[in-house]
Amino acid sequence: DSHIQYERVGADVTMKCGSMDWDAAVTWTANGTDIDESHLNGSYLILKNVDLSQSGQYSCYEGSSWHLKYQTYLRVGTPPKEPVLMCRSNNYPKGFYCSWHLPTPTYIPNSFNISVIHGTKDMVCEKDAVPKNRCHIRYLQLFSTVKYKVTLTVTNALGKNFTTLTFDEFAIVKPDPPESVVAKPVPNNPRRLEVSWQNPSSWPDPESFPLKFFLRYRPLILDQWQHV
Amino acid sequence: MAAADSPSTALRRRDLCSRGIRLAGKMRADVVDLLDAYVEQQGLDASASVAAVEGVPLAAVEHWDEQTGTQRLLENLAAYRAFRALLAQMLEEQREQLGEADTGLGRALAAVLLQVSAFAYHLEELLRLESRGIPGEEGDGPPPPPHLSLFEQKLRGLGVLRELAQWAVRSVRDLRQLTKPSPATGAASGLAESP
Repeated sequence: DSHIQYERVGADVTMKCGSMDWDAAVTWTANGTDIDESHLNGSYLILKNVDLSQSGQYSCYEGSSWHLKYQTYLRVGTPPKEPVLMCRSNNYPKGFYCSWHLPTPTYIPNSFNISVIHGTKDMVCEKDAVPKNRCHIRYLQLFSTVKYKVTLTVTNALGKNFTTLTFDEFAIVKPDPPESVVAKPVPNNPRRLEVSWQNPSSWPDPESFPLKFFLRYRPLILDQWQHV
Repeated sequence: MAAADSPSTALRRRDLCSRGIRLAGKMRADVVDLLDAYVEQQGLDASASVAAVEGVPLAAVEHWDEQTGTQRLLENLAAYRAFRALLAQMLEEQREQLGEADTGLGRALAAVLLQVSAFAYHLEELLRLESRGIPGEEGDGPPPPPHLSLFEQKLRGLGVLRELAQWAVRSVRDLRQLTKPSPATGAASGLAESP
């Protein structure tokens, strides 16, 4: 029966051939290719200072009968570094979302757990199907002075890590960019442009929560911007 | 009974709302400046968490978008009346601490107190327009303040100013809601009495 074995990059790995004695005659293969006897200590396979390229399927066969005695899938990776977390409300006052990623890959599967606390209250962050590293929350209260505290924990077979964000309700509000930005020439007036745009469609209530827009422009031949 | 607004009522409401919105906007900016000065002068940590203090109206609200116009006005009025009393108390405490010396902080507090009173007046006028009886104040006054240590007074002041800053933001949003036309009656949204 085969299973998965996770080891850190740089670790020394010893694999036993199932229940075989130390002095049994065995052959080890890595992804189907025989492994040289120099890596063996008796019937144990010794891999020193493993690197990512050594991930793969390792099998151990009894010497004469070629019976498969043991099989494992070796995955070489690293424990997670501190994850990068950000939270943002682009649809105030409906809610906000948090998204995260790892600064460096671990090369093995990771699971993420996120907790959101508002004062003493635990809130549920609904995970998005796509993308997977994102969840969203609906505001239950508005205009609260109580801070939100978001903790993201990432765990894999080799370790865990976490990060925390604390913020006010207003501090994370950031609308999406304006949509349908169009610049049209003005007939009979080559020195004028007519620029039009829309509120971002993600902003749910521009009447109650109006957005302010700033426009800058320049002819291509000049480096300096002008502001409207 | 929400009869169709007379044009003059609608106009007066819109006028009161837009002035109220400007006043609340300025109030918020002044309170934020006051907060900075207060934190510095009182030697507090700006990031200190202050537990909800008794008697300070919390701006936090659930189902904000479902509130009726009358609810908004009544909640705002109750809050600003409370802030009026709280700020007056803070001014008193300032004078006790520092004697009669005229401080920048004292003057800033007094200026905000004035704006809070003015805003409360706007709210009362808006309620009058709805032919709404304005709730009396006598029973509403805060209970006589328990004797707080100097440090507790400072923390309380921090809590008051923070909530007031939030309320100012909320009030602008509330007043904007009041000026939105209601789909059914054409009168300002949410001011019809519930059946």
